[in-house]
Amino acid sequence: MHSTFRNNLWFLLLGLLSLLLFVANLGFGSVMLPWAEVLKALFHAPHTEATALVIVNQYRMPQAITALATGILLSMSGLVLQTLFRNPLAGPSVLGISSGASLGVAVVLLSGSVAGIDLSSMAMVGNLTVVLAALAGALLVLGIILFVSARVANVITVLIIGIMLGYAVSAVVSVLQFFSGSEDLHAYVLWGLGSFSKATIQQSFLLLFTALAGVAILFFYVKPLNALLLGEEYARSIGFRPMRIQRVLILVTGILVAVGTAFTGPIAFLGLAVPHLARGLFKTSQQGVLLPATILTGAALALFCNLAAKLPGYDISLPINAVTSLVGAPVIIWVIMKSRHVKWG
Amino acid sequence: MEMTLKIEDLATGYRSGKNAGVVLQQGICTTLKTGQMVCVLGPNGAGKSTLLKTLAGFLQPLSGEVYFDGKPLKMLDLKKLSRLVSVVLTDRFSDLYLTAFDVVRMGRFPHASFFGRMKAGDLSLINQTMDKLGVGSLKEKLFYNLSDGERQKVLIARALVQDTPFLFLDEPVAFIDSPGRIEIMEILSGLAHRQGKAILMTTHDMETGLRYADVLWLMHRGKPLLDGIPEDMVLQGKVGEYFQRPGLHFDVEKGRFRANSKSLQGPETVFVKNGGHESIWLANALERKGFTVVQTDGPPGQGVFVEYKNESFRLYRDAKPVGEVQGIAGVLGKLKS
Repeated sequence: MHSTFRNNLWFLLLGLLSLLLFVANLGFGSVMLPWAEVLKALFHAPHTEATALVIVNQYRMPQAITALATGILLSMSGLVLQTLFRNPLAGPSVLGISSGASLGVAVVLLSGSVAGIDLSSMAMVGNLTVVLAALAGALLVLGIILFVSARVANVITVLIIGIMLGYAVSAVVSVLQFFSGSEDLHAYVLWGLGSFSKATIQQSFLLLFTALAGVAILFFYVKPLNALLLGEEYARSIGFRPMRIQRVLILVTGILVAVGTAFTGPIAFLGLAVPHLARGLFKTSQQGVLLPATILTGAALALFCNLAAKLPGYDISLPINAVTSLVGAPVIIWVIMKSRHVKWG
Repeated sequence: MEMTLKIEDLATGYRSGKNAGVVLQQGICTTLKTGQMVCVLGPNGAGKSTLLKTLAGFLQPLSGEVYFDGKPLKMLDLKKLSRLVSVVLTDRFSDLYLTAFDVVRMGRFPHASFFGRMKAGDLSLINQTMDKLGVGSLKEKLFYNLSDGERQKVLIARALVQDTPFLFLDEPVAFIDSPGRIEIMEILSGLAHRQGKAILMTTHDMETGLRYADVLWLMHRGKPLLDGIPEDMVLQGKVGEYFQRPGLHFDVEKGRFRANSKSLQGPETVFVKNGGHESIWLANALERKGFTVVQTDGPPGQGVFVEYKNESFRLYRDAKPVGEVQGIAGVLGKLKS
């Protein structure tokens, strides 16, 4: 069909943009390095300055990979959840999974001071502990969601329970915050602002591997996702089992979001906004087009946000959540304005 | 090839948890054959949609059995069922960028590859079907921008490309204007009578049911399902009985319900001379105003008599001419004074 050419052009453009932004993420930062030095460091060429080697390979590279992987996994989770719940405001946070991660981290960072021991000031809480705590919290919530979804017939009920679970978990976190010491609280708040720079190079590769595994799995669900666009009964009438598809996809996106949040903290708006951007660019609801479109747009937007947050040339950098929210919120407003005459079923 | 849907002692309704839930209908025994157009007719809340959804496999029967060509429904997996039954439902969906073509294309999914790839034959079937239903020019249009009538035709096309012997439609002509209703009903009866599909549709519109159904399934909450050809059902008084409501009676001659009596001013009898469209519409207007209308061939006699002659309405009282007016509005005005 005639739109195929246009779509391919957009895919190419978004792919090139992502590549360009990835390189820019390696080249820019608070320290200005000449491009020649960046390239030498990348390929570990002889006579590279030691600082350049460290900056490019140990700071900028894992950060860029983390941004890329997180952009991909949050965005495609957002797309899948929006299709699954047939709700434009569904996103990775709706199932309460990122709240679960927050609870895990809060328990580790804050419970020490609640119990009278200031763990973080004693430098007893390391990066890996926080990651594992976040993962445990997120998977706990995911487990509850799956347990519930096996027992209710309506996917919207699952959505509402997920949102309520998120509130309940956040309430527990605020109680912990209320009773904790200021140092611990500061550490927790920092985690909650999200960051692409906490992951090590190994962790960033693990994240990328998770994202790509997710991509591979979700491509097998393009046809069922399309079928679900018409609602559960139509999907059944053309041979799909909506409940089974919903459970598998909640599990897959849940794991993706859990792993992502564990390494970066909660990242706002990316998962919610990117699918809408992709729909706007490609003007289609076909999941076979939207899935790759969302992946590429998500990669490009996350890399762009990370670059913007670095404020190249300045000593300071902005919290990534501030940037993703500033970019994401207008996108959502645009979508609502555009679809105000449409009833979402 | 003839196929039969057989329903045996079926009870429909909703389960709630482990309890029995709500029973809407029980003891349903009937059949549906290919080449037949069946209208499930009944007032709102009779359980028409529930029956349709039970037969389509969306809802579990509370008891009893449904057989597709001898095979029990519960033994058919969704893949097999998707080759037997296609549906048109009342569910609203309006994903922003879904085109009419996208919607129809989904009906072909049971025949497509694992990734949803279509062969050239599938695509040409989709195009042909859309053209045949008169929605070929809407392919690239967004579904949510279509009118109710266009949407319904697109949804019927979606069901048709699924290429199943059975087609179930839930209220396909509700919310559709009257020419659109006729268009859709003509399409459906063509599918049954020329293409040999078994069509089952629910409707609460008696006129549609009486006019188009080969067989009516009359439903009413708390009464057994009755089946038969519409004309017999009317003459046996079944239609009247199933829709009965206090203050209404079924007019067998016109095939519709009327209020028992309107006690407006002037419960007078008006004699209307037979002949022409004018006399039919004059009677319509007079009845609305509460007059009792008697169609007659005879000359003016006792009482009020109206005849249409030489492009005007002539009024007589007790055989004496009392006036001559142009439109029916004029007749009503005269009668008022």
